[in-house]
Amino acid sequence: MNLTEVGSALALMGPYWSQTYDGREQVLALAGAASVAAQQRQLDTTFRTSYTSRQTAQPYRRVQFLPWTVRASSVNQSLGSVITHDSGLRYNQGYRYGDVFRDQYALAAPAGLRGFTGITNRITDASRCWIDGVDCLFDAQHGVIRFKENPFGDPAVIPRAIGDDQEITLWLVDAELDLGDIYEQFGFAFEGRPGIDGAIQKPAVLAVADIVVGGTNLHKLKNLIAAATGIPKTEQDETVETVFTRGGRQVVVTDKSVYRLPAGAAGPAAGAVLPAGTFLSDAVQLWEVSRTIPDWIRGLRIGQDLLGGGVSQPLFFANREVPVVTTADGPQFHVGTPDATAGFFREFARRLADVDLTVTDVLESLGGAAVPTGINPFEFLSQQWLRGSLLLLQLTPAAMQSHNVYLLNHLRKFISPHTLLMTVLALQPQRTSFTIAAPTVSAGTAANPNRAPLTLSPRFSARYTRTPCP
Amino acid sequence: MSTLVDSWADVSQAEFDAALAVVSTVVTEMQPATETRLGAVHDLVLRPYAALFAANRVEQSRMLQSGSLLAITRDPDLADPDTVDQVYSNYNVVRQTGAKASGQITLVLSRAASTVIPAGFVFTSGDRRFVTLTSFAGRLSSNSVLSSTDRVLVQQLDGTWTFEIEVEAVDVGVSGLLRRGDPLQASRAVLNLVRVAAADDFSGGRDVETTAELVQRAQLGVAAQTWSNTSNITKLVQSFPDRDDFAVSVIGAGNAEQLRDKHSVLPLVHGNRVDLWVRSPRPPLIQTIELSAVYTGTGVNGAAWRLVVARDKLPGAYSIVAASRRERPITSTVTNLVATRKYVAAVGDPDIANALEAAFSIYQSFELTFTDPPLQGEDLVADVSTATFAVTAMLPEGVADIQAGLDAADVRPPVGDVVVRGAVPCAVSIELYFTTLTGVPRADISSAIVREINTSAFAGAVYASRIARIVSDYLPDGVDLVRIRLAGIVTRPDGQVRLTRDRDILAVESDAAAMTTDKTVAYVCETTAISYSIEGAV
Repeated sequence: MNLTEVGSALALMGPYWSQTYDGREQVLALAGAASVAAQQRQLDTTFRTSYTSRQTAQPYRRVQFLPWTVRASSVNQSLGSVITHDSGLRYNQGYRYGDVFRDQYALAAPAGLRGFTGITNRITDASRCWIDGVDCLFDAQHGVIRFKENPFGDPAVIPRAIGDDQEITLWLVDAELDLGDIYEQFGFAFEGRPGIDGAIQKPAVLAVADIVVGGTNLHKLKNLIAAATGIPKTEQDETVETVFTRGGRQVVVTDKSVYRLPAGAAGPAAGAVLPAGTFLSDAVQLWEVSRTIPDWIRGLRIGQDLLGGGVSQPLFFANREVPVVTTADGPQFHVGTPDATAGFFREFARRLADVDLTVTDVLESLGGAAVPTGINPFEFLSQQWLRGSLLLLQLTPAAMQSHNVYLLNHLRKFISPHTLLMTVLALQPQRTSFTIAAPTVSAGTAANPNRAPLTLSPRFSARYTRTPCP
Repeated sequence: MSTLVDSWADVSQAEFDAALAVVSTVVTEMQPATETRLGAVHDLVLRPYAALFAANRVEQSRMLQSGSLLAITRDPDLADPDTVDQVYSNYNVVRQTGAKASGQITLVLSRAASTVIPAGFVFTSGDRRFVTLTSFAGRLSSNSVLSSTDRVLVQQLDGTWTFEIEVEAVDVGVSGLLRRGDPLQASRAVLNLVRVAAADDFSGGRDVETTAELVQRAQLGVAAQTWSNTSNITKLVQSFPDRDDFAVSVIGAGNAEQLRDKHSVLPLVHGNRVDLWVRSPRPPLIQTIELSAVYTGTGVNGAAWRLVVARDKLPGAYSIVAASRRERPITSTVTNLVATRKYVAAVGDPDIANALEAAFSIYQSFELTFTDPPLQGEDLVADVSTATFAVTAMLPEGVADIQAGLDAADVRPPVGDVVVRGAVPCAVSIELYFTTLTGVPRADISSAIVREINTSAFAGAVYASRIARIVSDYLPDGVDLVRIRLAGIVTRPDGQVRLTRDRDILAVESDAAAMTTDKTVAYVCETTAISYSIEGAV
């Protein structure tokens, strides 16, 4: 018997109350109310049950009919209804900061609202329905619901008089509420942060939990980086079928899945074959130092903490060939400023002398019988020193927009302490752009890339350039 | 309280109103003629139904909340013992039970006389009480010893007689951890007894873990006990016997405090070296052992001696506090004591190049030089004569057995180069100034502050604001905390001892080259280091 259906409830009462009794219409109405309540109980139970495992935990609570009582005096009064720097407008559209959007009636959404399928004026037999994205727009970032037409002027909605004001109750159908359950249940223990949307926080919490519970491996580490940056990675060997842009963000469709990239992150081209574990954008590059040197590394700066004794100035090992010059102190090549270079080779020679070798001996071993005329300093560094002990993570600003980006600060904690970790933030001239706004991953979109909030107009983007590294 | 709603007070008005809105709206919409705001349907049907509906939703929410350690901490009403135990078990976390401290005390008698201390006899040290669990008797000679609790009186050079007995703290907690030499008072008169003191550091005292502390351990609870990342390594250390309350700071590749990975021919760090700095929530130990010293000749101030503390003696010692010849009274010490930390390489050692890199680990040793005049009538021959000295050191807890545990074949990481070190100790003293001391529960405040500081792992600093908050929780009405002064003495791995003072934030000066940073320093405090004064009083 399914008590969420009115018929079942009536059957439970018996034929007298549902068919013979004079007041059976009232009984029918009570059965209807009972079935609505039973449906909600079912949703509550399903939600609670999902938390028996962190894998199945639902980030949002679902409410079948969420009452939403608003007053006429509150239309266009909330902060979310005025123009701000992140209202998604271009310059010269006739707005000033602090203006209210024209032809728009914004009302503050219920706290924690993350989505709904529609708004109705009644629970049963609704005579008016506003569809999100058509008749109204839920702006999760600013916590408002914007109507195209003022609901207080709708004849299907009968307001109540409250003094000089008017009040209406609308129903948010199948509303999703984020009450911080992911953080409360799991996030507090696994590097989560209060206040971050549950759907966004969940993959980060899962990634951390997996690493803590089972130890670190490359797969789990990539999961953590993906969660921290918002750049997804392939779970299987996949082939890109198409790439398109929606809401200013690329959507990558493969033969196995659909991925949505953060704004500014470029995805692979259609037809690309991606092995399992590949990041969907070169906004994230992870390299375990080996013989093969990727060309995206311009070079490596070695700061104070990574210098041994006897060297005081930072060094830079460029990933390009530089000449080997012979000085009074022996052969040298460029690893920073002239002083830094001289200091490095002076200390290098001193240490080699302890084992009866010279810099010339070392360079000759690289170039065959003679000291080479040119050398790639980064290649020299990686083969003589870094191989097997360094993990290099390169990020562009596109990979730094997620709410979970703070996890990158904890990355050291999740990598074996025997291994060096270097994180490089790459600023690429004429290519990198980022949105001047709060992180734009909207509630309700992380889990379902097809459920993106509509934007009123393209976002204002700032382009900047920076002199490339040497 | 359970997760079930057993009172309507548990259902808020808002929750009830929301439920009533749903059911009454449906009824109104389906049967508009029905009066749902007043009358029989409202009173007898809709309101009770809405109340039950709301109660059910509250229960569902509570059941969810009761599965969260965090929610339990925030709402103690959810924390019925059964529920809490179940939640802890999800994280493989077991609440650390409290334990009473125990140790030996020395009773000093003015003359040799058989002395009986009955079971249940109470000694006090400040507000702390200690009790004998069995009766003890001090006997004049070994011939008089009748049981295992009988002790033979030992004559001291000053003419007094001593014997030692075991006592246990009356209260659970670290507050019962007496230090060697701490004075005690007998609760009742004992014939010929002139003084009582702790014979050695007390041990075993630990506080009951609070729920808030359990929350902090949730992640470690489920962490795999293996050599992988920081969480796993910490859990691995905590899985060793009696080390479950230890904090661990993992210093590896790229950390400025890591000195041992710079030994390559390239003047750059090369990784693959790890130091584990460990600390217990208890102050460093003060331990005394007897070692043989060699007489090296007559020095400026008397006979000169040299003594080597091998690496397996006093493992990880921070400093050598004192030394005294066994035959002398326990209060006498040698003079001109110089303790030099050494590192002598041995087969199988990790990559250690010098004494600094061996500091506070089992791989260090000490060489002591000091002067101590010969005993009366003693004829000493340089480099030949030896004598036994009691050497007292301050040392960290657990360094030797954690290092041994990590070096065990079934635990050791492959190609693993790991050195376990005791956390750099910064002994904190606190001066508290009040408007009046009347009604100020000093013992409770001291215990709470000590607990806060000693369980702070590698906090990086001690904050006066935090201490003020703790103190304010205990102050009676009309008493105000006016001022706090903080001071710390840090014993660094390079042998330097530095003093730092502040009124707001006590933080040790960072010096990575001496392995002294907020990642390696542990702030420790003892109740005796907290003083109480009246502001303005002379």
